[in-house]
Amino acid sequence: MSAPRLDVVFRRSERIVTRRIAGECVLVPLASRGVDVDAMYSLNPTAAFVWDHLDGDASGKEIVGELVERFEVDAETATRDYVALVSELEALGAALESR
Amino acid sequence: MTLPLASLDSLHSAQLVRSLLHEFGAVTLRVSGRCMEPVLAEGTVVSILARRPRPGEVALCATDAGLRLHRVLWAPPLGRGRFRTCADRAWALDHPLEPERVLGTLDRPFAPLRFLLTLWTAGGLWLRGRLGYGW
Repeated sequence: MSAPRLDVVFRRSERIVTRRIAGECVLVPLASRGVDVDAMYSLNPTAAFVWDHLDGDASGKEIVGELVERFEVDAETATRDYVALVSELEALGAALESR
Repeated sequence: MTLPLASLDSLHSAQLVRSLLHEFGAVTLRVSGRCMEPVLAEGTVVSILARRPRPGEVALCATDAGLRLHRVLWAPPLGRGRFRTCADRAWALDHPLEPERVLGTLDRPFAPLRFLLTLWTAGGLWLRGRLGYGW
């Protein structure tokens, strides 16, 4: 799977449930029956910010711009972090390309 | 990025599982530990249903030490009182549990022989405690 391009728009999968617990953003995948709490993912604040913005409207470029503004990081770092996270989320089936 | 349920503290893991059971009716998790063998081997993936367990069934309980899958020996009638639970291979009964700490029920058919065996062992342990014979 190639790294996601910044002009691509991603959205959150409907197969993932988001919960905020103890200050952490936790993703729980749906199972054949209910949810699978054994395969949860925890996102740090930056990753949670990106996750919240994967709404099927904002492109990678726009999200990186928001990251730079919000977390006061340079564009290169923000781009690298965005690409790494979205690649991982895509591999897990948690983020899907919006068509 | 994977977060095993055990990495959350007992309060938050119980809170999370309770809310997920409430919303989805079932959660899937992997058994860790060997206290319920041979019924539940370590690593077995099980489903927990959002319903009150009956005596003899295995319940998912929120204890101070974390989430536990233990057998219910006594379920308080009408929701008043506390549950008594015990692991199949335990040497002691668990502390009494308030109903709100019993989160759900293992989705397995009731095993009367296993229940009787656990009840027999637990009864013996209880009697030894009452008579003052410690281990």
